[in-house]
Amino acid sequence: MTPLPGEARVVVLGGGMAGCAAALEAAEVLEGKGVVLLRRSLGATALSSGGIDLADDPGYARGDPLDREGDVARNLARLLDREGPAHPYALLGGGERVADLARAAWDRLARWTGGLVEGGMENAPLATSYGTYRFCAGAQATQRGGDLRKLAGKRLLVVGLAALPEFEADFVAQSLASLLPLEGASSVEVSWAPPADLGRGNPFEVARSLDEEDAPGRFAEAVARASEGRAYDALLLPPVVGLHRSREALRAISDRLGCAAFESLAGSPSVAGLRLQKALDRALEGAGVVRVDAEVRSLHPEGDRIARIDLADGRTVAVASGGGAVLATGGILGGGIVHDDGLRERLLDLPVFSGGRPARGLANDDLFGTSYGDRHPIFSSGLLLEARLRPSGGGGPLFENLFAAGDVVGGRDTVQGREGLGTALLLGIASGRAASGSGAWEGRP
Amino acid sequence: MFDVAVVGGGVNGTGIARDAALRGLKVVLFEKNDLGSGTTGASSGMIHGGLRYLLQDPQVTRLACLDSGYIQRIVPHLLFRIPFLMLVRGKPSFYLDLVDTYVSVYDRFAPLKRGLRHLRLSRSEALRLEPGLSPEIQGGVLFDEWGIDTFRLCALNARSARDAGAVVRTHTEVVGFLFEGSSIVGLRVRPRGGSAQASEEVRARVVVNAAGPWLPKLCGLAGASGRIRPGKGIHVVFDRRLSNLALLFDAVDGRSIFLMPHEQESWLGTTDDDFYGDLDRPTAGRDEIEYLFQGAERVFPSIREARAVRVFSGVRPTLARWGGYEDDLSRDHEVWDHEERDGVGGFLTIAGGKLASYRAMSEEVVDRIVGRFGLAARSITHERPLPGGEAPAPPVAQLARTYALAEHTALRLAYRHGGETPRVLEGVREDPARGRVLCACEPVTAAEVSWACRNEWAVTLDDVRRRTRLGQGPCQGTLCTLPGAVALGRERNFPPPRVFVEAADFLEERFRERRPALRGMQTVQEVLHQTLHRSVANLDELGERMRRTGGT
Repeated sequence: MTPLPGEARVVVLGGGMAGCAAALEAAEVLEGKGVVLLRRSLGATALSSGGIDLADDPGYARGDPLDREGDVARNLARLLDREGPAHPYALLGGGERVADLARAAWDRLARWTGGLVEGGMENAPLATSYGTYRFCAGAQATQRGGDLRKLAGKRLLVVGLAALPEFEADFVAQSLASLLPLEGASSVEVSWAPPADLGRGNPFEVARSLDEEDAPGRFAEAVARASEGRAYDALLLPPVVGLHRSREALRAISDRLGCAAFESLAGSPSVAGLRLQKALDRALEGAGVVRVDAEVRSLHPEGDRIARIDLADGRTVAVASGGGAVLATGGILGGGIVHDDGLRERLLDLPVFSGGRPARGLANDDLFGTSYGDRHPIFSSGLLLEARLRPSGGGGPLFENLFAAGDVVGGRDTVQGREGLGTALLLGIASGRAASGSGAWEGRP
Repeated sequence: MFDVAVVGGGVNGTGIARDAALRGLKVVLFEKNDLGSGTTGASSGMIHGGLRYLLQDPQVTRLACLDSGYIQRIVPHLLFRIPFLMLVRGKPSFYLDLVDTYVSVYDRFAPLKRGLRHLRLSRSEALRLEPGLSPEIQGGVLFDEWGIDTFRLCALNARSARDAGAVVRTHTEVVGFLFEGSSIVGLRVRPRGGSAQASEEVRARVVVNAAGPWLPKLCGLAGASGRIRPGKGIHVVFDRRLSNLALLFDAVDGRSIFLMPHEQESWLGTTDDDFYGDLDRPTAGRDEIEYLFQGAERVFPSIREARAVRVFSGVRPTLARWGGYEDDLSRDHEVWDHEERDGVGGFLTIAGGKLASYRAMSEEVVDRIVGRFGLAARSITHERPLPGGEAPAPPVAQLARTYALAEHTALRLAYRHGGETPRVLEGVREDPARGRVLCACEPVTAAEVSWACRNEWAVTLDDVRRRTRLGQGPCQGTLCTLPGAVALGRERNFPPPRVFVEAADFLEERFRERRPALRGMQTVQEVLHQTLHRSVANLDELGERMRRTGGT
């Protein structure tokens, strides 16, 4: 069991993208001292596809699929025009300031994850494991290489694995060829199985098997044999090329076959999500953040500040004076927001808002549209933050030193919207700075 | 020229088509949606003896028990025994004696449906059998009933009809009648949602209206009278079996409601309310669901902790009567000859009735028809097995070994297909991809999806669900919608964009049943469901784009 210090400057609750970003940013400000991260379990970040959104063209469903506004800064501005001041990006200071923060965030995320993740200010269409495409501003380096626009006029080979039947290489190839102006797309199936048949149908075991020293080479040989006589310019693989050494493994395959190779965005379960989570965990360790895997029982206010946090196992940590706590417990998927009699915030029962009104006691008719494809109000429900990213009931902060980040915060649609993990990253960084007492990215200018 | 045109692909319509075809008549059946997609598929799925009707309609009880026995004979694999425990709570101490005596009378009918004699349970015996029961109960009486997969029952009746020469047309709507004088001599039909130009004329000597709650609409088209008292019923479905016994108890208004294991789920039902809404899209309201939970928690206190995954709603075509509460209405059935009623010749309607007596009702309708034709052919539907009912399935362990399936997969497959299971699995040994499990919850293999498309009129992914239960389990299609759509596309040679349209249609259709149940962990599941389809797979964008271009 990781020892829990009796007191910390910054205590982060939740260890997904938002929580890790908050803790890592706080650790940079505080030079690696006095930051504690409490985590109950893996959450939505570990389930994510590998793709990271910031802002898509709000009119994306119209017109030619590949012809759309790809510039993230311009999309941010248009998104804020449409969504108004309740959107978390508005709290972060609006279009230009958010774009600045995003540029800084990509640098940090690349550094924190040791290059696993790459991002930029241009959305690129990436292939999904379902044979579709989606536009993302960032993704894992092994996925981001597959900008589908660059494949126009080229021949794609989609590689399936007998051990992973849910990745249907023939359908993915057919579908991408029908959606995009490719020269052609074909598929092969490779009978690659992890040792002792541990992993039939288990992508994590398949990925682990490709971490082994000579595995990528042998895998490439198998692809070469299966595709003998076939001409292709690029390889699309399911997102299982290594769990810990994905870039090395993919590079080895690409080198051996003499062509570009990339992975698709993951469905569920997601090896890419686990990779991201593990990379963030390593970053926490490297930055001196004390991570404790335990359930929080309660937060204790003293006056207008959170003074102490108790764990379910009886341990306790005090929040130092001048320090703060960051609530990054996730949305509905992560468990920070609970749907029973309406919506409630799990740890402190903070007020949750849905479309501007209190979400306590709301019926399903208020929380869900009638069609699957609607913008369901529940997906943009969450905490309301004041200008310095502290939960509020509509006026000032509820606690002077309690900040919030990630999907526990409302104001943007976490399902239908295309801001996804990017919002969590940006809010995480900003709240980490705010909680550690640093002035930058604190809010509206 | 057909002898009989049947309108409606529920259990009555398919039952009538089968009976008529087996008697040598030339039969065509039209269903505007899918087999079993209306009242039949939204019923409690019970071939029960009708204990409820013993005092009021003893003939309904007798008929139901008798026919329950026949149905077990013709399709043994599709029935499963459900022991029912009728609970007593908050009643004077003699009340258990009263129930005991009442059910003793029912014992006389039990042998007809292969039921065991009832058993009286003391409070402690009941609690030992069902530890989830409230200690407040006073005891109960245990008796036997039977459950069935209603979708498959319809498909098997339709298959048997087709084997005897009938033509079955699903997703085909009746839009008018052909007349000669005041007599109906046929129908005008068109593909559902198709244009007026797409309509065609089909001639038949007799048209049978087996449209269930839609029957008044059809009578209206024919210029005939047809009044029913539509009654809506809902069932809340839980992600697993919550009890081993079906529990029968009182709701706040004294009505009998139940919490019943059904296949791998538990169902909490049902309501009965006069219905005036859209027959094509009945949905459950918060008040109806709360009514059921409130009744259930009185005898099964942990019910609110359980995970409800969906709520299904259907409308009964109950015989009309002015006055009387919904529950007091007769469950009896009537066959209307519209020549006698309204002077419209060549047109019969079947109204009212219960799932358990569908076969006898079908026989009665076809008796009328052959009588009119001056024929003597008698019904054989009580002894001729339905497809798969001719012989038992091979042992599960053997199926699992032979086709390299998990035993659980083989078990569910054998339940659904009985003696036909090896035919469904044809080709799996040569091509293991056909044995791949597409829906892990139920589980459903690729081979079964092919079978449903090739032999059981599955056209859409929702049709596949009704035949196979794909997407019906706790994850509610989170992981099997796209693989299912790809398998359907492969079977029907769809281009990839059409596959996404099929998936998007299925997502839209299934949400209607999930929405009223969303709460707690099921909402968490819904977030994952929608994130995967709408955001990760990008169907919000692609489904919309493809639909606009017609999926080509």
